[in-house]
Amino acid sequence: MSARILELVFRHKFLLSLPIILGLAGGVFALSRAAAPYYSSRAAIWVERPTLLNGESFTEFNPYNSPAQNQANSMRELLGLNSFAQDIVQRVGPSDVGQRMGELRTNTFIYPYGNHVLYLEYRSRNAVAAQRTVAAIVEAYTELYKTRLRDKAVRSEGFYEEQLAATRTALEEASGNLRAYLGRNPQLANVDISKPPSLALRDVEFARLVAAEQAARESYDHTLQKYAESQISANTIDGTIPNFLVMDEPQVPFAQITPGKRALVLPPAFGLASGMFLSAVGFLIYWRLDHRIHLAEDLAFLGAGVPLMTIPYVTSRRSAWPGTFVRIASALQNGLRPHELAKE
Amino acid sequence: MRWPSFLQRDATVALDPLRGISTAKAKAKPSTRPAVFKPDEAPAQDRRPARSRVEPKPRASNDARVLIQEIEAEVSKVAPDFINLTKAVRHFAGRYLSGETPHETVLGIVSPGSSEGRTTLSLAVAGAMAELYHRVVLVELETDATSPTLCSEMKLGAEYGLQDYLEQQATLGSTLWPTRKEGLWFLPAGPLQTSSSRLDSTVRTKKLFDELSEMFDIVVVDLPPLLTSEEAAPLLTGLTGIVLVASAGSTTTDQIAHTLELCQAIPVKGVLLNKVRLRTPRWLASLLKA
Repeated sequence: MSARILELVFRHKFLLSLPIILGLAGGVFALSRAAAPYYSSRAAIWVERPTLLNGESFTEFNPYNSPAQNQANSMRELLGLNSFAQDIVQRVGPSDVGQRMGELRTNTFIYPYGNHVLYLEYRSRNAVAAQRTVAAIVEAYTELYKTRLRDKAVRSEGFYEEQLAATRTALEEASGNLRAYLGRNPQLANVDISKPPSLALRDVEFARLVAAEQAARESYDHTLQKYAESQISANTIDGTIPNFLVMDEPQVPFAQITPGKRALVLPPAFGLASGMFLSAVGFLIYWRLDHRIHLAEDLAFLGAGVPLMTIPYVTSRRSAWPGTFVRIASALQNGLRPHELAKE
Repeated sequence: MRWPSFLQRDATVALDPLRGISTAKAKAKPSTRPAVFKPDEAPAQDRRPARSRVEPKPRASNDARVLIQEIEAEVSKVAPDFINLTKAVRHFAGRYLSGETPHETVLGIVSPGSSEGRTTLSLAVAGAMAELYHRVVLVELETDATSPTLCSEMKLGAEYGLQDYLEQQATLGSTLWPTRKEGLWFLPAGPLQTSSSRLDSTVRTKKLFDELSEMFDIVVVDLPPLLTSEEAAPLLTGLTGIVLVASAGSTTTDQIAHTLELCQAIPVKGVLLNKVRLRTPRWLASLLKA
């Protein structure tokens, strides 16, 4: 068994070693990227669940995730947008926008810590750029957040204002009709209008006018409440009370971070392990699917009673002899000659 | 390595070492029946009138002589593997085939497919048997007209072959070919243009085996590939034993199993696993064995 395994390994040595070499090369490449010292600047953001008072959320809020997770998701999505990334890059500095947009995406790390804390980190070889980028991201996000919420609040305020005017008119009309009917029928002035069935039995028209007036009032009250809420929203946005708050402002880092031993070992080790795994899979495939006979051991199924002799491949150093040549050579060695020569 | 010059030329020329002789044969077809053949009985009269019986002029080609010298030099100097091949087969024959009863042994060299080195090993086995027995004959049984026969590859110049005998156009004596190796005769396949029915050929081939058994101590038959040739399987019944040839790296275990199924009524004298090329370093392999 061990001879078969070794033979298989040596037979397909190039194919089996290729994934290992490629994995290791990939790991070393990743190491070269990760091994360079860098500066890191980080901001800690406290995130609350969006409510009416903090202006709600302008993105879809997943109630099954924590606020920090929701915030991280929306920030990552925004970083994927060219317009947002371009805005950040331009806030940091005008030079080489294209390259820095790519760096922004690869060097920005957003990760939640607990339910409410969100870390926003940027790694750069320039300490100032690291700090300014984090600050720019927070600034751009806050600005976008406020702009969107303000637009939303202004739109809803205008909408409810119009609705309020319409419901007020309807209420005034219904109240006027009721008052006029009571003026024509003064005996109804003392009727308890809180009991509609008894009222309907006395005067159907009176009951209808009372119901219309009540419905108009309810509609007016509801619209008035919504209008008040939209006004609160618009006002609180101006007062900057969003659902997130920057607790730790990004600072200019004073020392470079050199990757630890773990960071140095991990990428090549991971590459090597992946390559070895793929290689092992390749080995197993060959082991299971290759039914060709390579060694005498492969003919063990014939049993011990059958004599077996292995004949070596006829080679000259490294290259194999052509089949015809071997045949002719074998024939010559066993005395066969072209007829003319045979007679000599 | 440097190949012999004939292998460096184009294929046609490479396989035609006696080109000059081929051209000469086209003009006047010489009879090449070996004059030195002397089996126990005298060869019967040849009943093939169409072919000339004129003895050819000796036209020993320098090309052929050079070719043969080149190949022999290559074999002896450059390739120890080839020497090992011969030694291994000799060892195999001495150990496992030396107990065969003379005049009762028809040994078939079979393989599941083609290009597995069956002909080479047939030659080697026949040569080794010739060192153990007095009279050994190697029968080349080729049924596929497209595959090259030893006779055509070697330009042996044999005018009559097994096919002629089966078609009753030549006697057995006229088809047998003596070799330079003492005690070894060769029966080439001959021109492959079958006109008789297969059943008839099979019956006559079996009869031929009986005749050869009487004339020779051991008959070694180089059979066509068993799994690809439909004529091979019926001929198995005429054999007293088989040597199975498998090629390392191309023959599968399933093919071996199917071949053995076909040969289940015939004793397997041994298996020759040809073209074995170990990739494991020798020191490691020896370490494992230890």
